[in-house]
Amino acid sequence: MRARPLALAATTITLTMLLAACGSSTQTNTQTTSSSAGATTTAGAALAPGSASDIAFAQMMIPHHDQAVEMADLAEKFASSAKVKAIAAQIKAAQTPEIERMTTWLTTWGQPMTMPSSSDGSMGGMDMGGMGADSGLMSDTDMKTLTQARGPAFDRTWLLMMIAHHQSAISMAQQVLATTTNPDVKNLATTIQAGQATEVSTMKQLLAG
Amino acid sequence: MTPVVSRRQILLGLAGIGALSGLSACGRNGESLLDPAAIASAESARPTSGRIRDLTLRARPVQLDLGGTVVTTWGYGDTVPGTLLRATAGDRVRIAFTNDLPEETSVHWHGLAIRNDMDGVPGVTTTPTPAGGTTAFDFTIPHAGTHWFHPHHGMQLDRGLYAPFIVDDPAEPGAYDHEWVVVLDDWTDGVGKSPENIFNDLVAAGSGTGGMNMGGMDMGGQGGGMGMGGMDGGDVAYPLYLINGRVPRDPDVLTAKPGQKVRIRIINSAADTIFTVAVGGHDLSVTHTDGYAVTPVTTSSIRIGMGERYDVVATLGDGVFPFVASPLGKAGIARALIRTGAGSVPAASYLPPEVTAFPLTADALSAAPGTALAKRDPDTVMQLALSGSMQPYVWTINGRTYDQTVPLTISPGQSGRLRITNMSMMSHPVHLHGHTFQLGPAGGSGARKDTVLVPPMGAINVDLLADNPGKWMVHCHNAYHAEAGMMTRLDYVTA
Repeated sequence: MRARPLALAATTITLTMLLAACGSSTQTNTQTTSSSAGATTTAGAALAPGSASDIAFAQMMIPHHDQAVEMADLAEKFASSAKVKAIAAQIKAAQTPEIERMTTWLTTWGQPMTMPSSSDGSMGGMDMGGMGADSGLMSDTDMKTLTQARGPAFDRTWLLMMIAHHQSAISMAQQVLATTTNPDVKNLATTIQAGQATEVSTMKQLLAG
Repeated sequence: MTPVVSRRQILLGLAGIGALSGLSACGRNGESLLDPAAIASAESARPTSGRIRDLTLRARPVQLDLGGTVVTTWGYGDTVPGTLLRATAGDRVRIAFTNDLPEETSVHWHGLAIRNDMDGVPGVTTTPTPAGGTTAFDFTIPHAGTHWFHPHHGMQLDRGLYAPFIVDDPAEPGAYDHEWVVVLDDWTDGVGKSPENIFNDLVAAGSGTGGMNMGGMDMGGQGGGMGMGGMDGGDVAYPLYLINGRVPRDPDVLTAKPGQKVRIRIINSAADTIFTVAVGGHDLSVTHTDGYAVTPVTTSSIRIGMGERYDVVATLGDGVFPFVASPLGKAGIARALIRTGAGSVPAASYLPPEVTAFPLTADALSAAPGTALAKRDPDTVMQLALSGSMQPYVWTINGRTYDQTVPLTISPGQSGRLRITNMSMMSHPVHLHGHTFQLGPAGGSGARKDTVLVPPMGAINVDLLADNPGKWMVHCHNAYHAEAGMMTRLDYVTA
């Protein structure tokens, strides 16, 4: 169910493959610093260094966003309500460029795409490594249940799951905002917090429909 | 849920309590209040129906039949759950409480935003009721809703000392044919180890060799009484899970007719267990949580933390249907039955598909029109960081156990924001006494709650209005965590 099954290792080769798979970079040298990757950040300025919590934030949020996009794709196929399809499309449109942005950060910082101790993200809850051990991902079981649901039951399940998914993203954004000094991280976390809170309100209304 | 330290306070007597009160009074934010005049003033400002209800309540040893195994436990009245108390919003209730237990106790009215000196927390708002003693409670109940009561005293809650307190709304449309109160519990008393022994074993296992901080992860293998540990499986594996004091093979039964509507008031009175609840063959329309109305939402299942309440309405089908409460991360099941017609009773272990659906939690609910707090930016923002470990077995708020706590402070009339961050790998139901906060910003769409389940590593902001002066407990409603220190207070101070 994971969008990025190869994210097991933090080797240069794997990282390069991942980057290519994301379509976010044509670089082959993952150790490149600000000169080229920085060009995609705000106003073309060099990207400020990422602290440990900035790196962890991006490493957790990328798979989290990947899963949101995966869920949005399911809604495009299976939702019975046009309004659910519309909010799903809005979520996908918001998060796809955010994934690229965070991928660029990690590339620029010379960091792996996933936390070294995290085997595949869904096991995040077992990580003993402190912050970010649980990245709020839906379990494989929940994703499977969603994939099999149809009609109004799909819509309801999708809305409940996406609300919970957004809440964990908002939590992660709130936590990185408490520590970060990086303007790009601050900017994106603020956007995620506000944008996803608005989407939660919309989804709650649809749920109460 | 009176921690170890409170026992110590009691041993020390008034000198000990005075010393702690003195400490908190030295805070730079002003003087701490347990100001009788302020409490009396807040009481006289509460809207009243003019009615007085005289109620009686007795804590005593009771017999409980667990499907043929009769155990002696402690309860309220003659049953588990205990005597249901009922009033209407605005009523003044006078409750004559008698303690026929062999040790002292207290009664906390969970969810009732009443006067502070009736809140039932020994060493903070009251003195305990001694064995053989009495306490006269007298307070006005401001709000309707599904509430409950239990001791705020050591591990007593994990016996049979719990009961519903239903407060009716005089404006309730009553668009249902039946009311069914469903109380969930995890049970060990008389069939497994006593709650006190389980707690002592958790502490002993936590002080064993190694001393590695497992960050809330009990890796199992600690021996009898310990659960699968860590994550959301709680810290304790219970021999039984009960609904309305009954085991699955001898369930409580609601008898009704097909097509009728039933309002189910669900209360999780467990000490260490989060449940997922569902009714086989039925959708549930969630109408209230923690006593307050929400915009109704239809769901298959609900995840309910310790201390939380959800009211749902279901339109009944024709047959026999299980009401199931599945303990999160633990083996076992609690269930009751709804019977509206012919049909065979499903096996005691039967899990209907509804209970495995993705569950509703409070963050999917919106406050009903008229129930949100007034929109307002917070005057004060308070941090509440939840943390802990199994080795040693210590649970903290803001890095401190309750005996070392630095209380949060607020001034009367202020709007306050609690910024709750969970730094552990377990969910914690955080309960605030004396207030019903709003999830998210005041005036937003979030539900009103007094107990909120904070997911592992999660962060939740809740806003409250400081309209009820006193000293109020803020704590994890896992009784073992609270006993191990996971409590603090919100103290009103002069501006």
